[in-house]
Amino acid sequence: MEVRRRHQEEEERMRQRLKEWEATVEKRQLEKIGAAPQPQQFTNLYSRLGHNVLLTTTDTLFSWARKSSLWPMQFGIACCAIEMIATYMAHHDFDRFGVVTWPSPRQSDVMIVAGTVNYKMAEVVKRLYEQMPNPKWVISMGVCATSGGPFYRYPNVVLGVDEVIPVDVYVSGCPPRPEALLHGLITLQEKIMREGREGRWRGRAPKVIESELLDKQPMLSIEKPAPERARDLAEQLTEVKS
Amino acid sequence: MAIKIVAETVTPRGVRMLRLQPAKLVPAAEVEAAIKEVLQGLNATTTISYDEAVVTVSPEHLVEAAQRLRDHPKLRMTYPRCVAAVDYPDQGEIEVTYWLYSPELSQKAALKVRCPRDGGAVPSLVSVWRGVDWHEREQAEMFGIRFEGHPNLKPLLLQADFPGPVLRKDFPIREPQSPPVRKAGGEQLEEEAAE
Amino acid sequence: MTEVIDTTRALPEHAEEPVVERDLQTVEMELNMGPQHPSTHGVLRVILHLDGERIVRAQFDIGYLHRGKEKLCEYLDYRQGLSQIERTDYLAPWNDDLAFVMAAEKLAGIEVPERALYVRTIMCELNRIASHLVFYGAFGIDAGAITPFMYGFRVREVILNFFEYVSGGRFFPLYFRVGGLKEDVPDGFVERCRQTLDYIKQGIDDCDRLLSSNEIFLSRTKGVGVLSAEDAIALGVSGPMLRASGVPIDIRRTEPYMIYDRFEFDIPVGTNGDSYDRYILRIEEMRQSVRIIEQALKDFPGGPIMARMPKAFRPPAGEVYLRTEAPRGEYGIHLVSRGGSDKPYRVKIRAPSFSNLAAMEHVLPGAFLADAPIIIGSIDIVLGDVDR
Repeated sequence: MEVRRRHQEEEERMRQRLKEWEATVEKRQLEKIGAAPQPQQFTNLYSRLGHNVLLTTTDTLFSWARKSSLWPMQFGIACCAIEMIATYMAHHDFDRFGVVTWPSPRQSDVMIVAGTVNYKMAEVVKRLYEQMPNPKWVISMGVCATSGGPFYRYPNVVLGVDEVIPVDVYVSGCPPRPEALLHGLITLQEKIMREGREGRWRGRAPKVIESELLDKQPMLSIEKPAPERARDLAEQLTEVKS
Repeated sequence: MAIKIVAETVTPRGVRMLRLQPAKLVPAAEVEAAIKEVLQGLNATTTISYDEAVVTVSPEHLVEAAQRLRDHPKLRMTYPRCVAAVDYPDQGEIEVTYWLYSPELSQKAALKVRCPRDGGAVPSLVSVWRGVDWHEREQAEMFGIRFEGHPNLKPLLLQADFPGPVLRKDFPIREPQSPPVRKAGGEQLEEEAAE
Repeated sequence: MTEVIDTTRALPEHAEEPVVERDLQTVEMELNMGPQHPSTHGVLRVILHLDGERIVRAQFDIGYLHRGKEKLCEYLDYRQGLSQIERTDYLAPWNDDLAFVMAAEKLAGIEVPERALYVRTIMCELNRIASHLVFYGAFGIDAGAITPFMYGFRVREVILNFFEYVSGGRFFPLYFRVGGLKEDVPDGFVERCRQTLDYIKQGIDDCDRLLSSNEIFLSRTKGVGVLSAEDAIALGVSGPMLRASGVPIDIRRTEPYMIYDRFEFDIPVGTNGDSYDRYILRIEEMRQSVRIIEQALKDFPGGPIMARMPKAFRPPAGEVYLRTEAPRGEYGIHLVSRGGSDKPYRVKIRAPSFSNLAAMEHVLPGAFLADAPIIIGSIDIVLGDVDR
């Protein structure tokens, strides 16, 4: 009991001495500055620092950087490619969104799949998608890339490019007007801004989509047969209707 | 050439601008008569269809007939317009048509040949007109017929492993899909899509 | 070309042996100009076998856009089939439509009223200008110039706005029907067409002045990719490519269809058969198309726009092949009907780019690798045509 009372007294004495010491230090600091100590109420950092410093979260910053300079790969398959080109050109300018077409997949961000994808082309599309580095997005332009389009009944047409690669934005139309493609790009930009918080591209590689309908043979050999692909296609056709 | 040049000018950049007279094609009856004369002894049957003279030969005489059509001074069919094959499953035959044109004599004709559907083979006319090369390759893969004597009869448009000839009448295409129907009163969507 | 340099001769113990010049062993290189390439116009794949810089053999791998339009047309009637046919040569859909409806009209023996013929001519010639402008831009890009693309598409926007004004569709109009047109042209058609023509004339002159006398462009295209006249005819080449080789065949003059024999226009014909000829021909053709449209607008008639036709169009049995002069060449439709059905029995599309591209297998060998994009670009292919 006595020991505890002695300890408590000592704690109080230490606190008292700390307060006095703090008071003297502050007083000495203020004397150095030469200002009278005034109580200042800070609501946020902006009012303290003026308008010289911009503060934001890094997520928003990175997303803003990514969306403002999307470089699509120069990749037009069919008729939609011409409307895509018209969107790049002077009348409906894409460049004001920071969009610069780039021929190489290795340095591009977006793949605008413009046109019908058939099984022969799907291999190429998948390979190009895999060649693009992260972060990457896909805009599926036109009804052919969305769901097969007016050619969906032909057996060689893939019903939508999302059977092969993951798609972020679908723009419908045959072909979509340049304004529609611009709307699609703006939607993608909004999506990128939202994505920053969810952290889709924060250092985590997405799962590679395995498509059973494609095989993994190298591209340069035209004559190599792919028996699994033929079997799958034949099965698909027979189960549709004989 | 039977194309009459009325006037000729040269633009400042050096391009020749020709004013041609609208040409009149030789009437089909005359062409048919000329063909009958030229293809004597080859068992050729000729008809007139709309404004074209059409001659049908059998596969054995095809190359000979084509060479005569190309080389004979009365016909001079040097320009191959188109090669088309049509599938007639009820007759069990596939008919290949070569549409020809003569720029020198301003006349046109068609050359037809028939072959059976199963394992059918037609001699290739690549040696006569070089331009039918790719056309024959495409018709071969689409209809499953062979063109004998073609230097490179590999598939052109379809993948090497595509199952079957597409343009035959018995090759199926996907069923049409009707859109889902919303019942009156906003009830659950009911899909009427066939498989 | 069979022995390897033997570097052991350089060692001192072999110094007294005579040094013999041996050839380097060279191997033919196979280069893949793949489906994704900035200067293949669409998804064309070329496998070039190179000996150093020279192309020894060119193999074409096409079919990356094969959508089976011929097959699908057998399941669609004569009105729905237009949606398939338009998407073959997608830069000149009006001309594709024209061939199909004219083939069906020839099959059934239908006479189209005058006003419809004039509208068809005007729209097809405008389409020719629009298509050649895309060629102009794309060819500039192949040669390394980017501004022509902007110029060409700026003029093209005006034409596409006019197409939308007339038919409702910028790109694929679906305006022609068997027997005439879907609906009459809107009010102010002639006036608006004249305004468009004024803009186009100025635009063509701008485009021509920009590129045609550029020294780099000339040295890149003159003498490159020569195709002789006999080769061109035997290979079935058509359109500006045939005319550039010196053969003055234009289907609007050699086999006149519609009302082309009433108009006065010149046919540009080349002298050398090289890429520059193919390019400058198309510029001149644009000017001639403007001439045709002006003449057509002068005597633009009134009257009905559709022939008297039954509600469901069922042509009699027969077979017809009809060819028209599309911007790329001879666009032909082989139409087979077996009577009594509103769907065609067989539609074969004779696409101009198909034969023109086949001719490239004979033109590319011997050229330099750097000329390959120029040569392939100068034939103005559209992959929808090639692959159908």
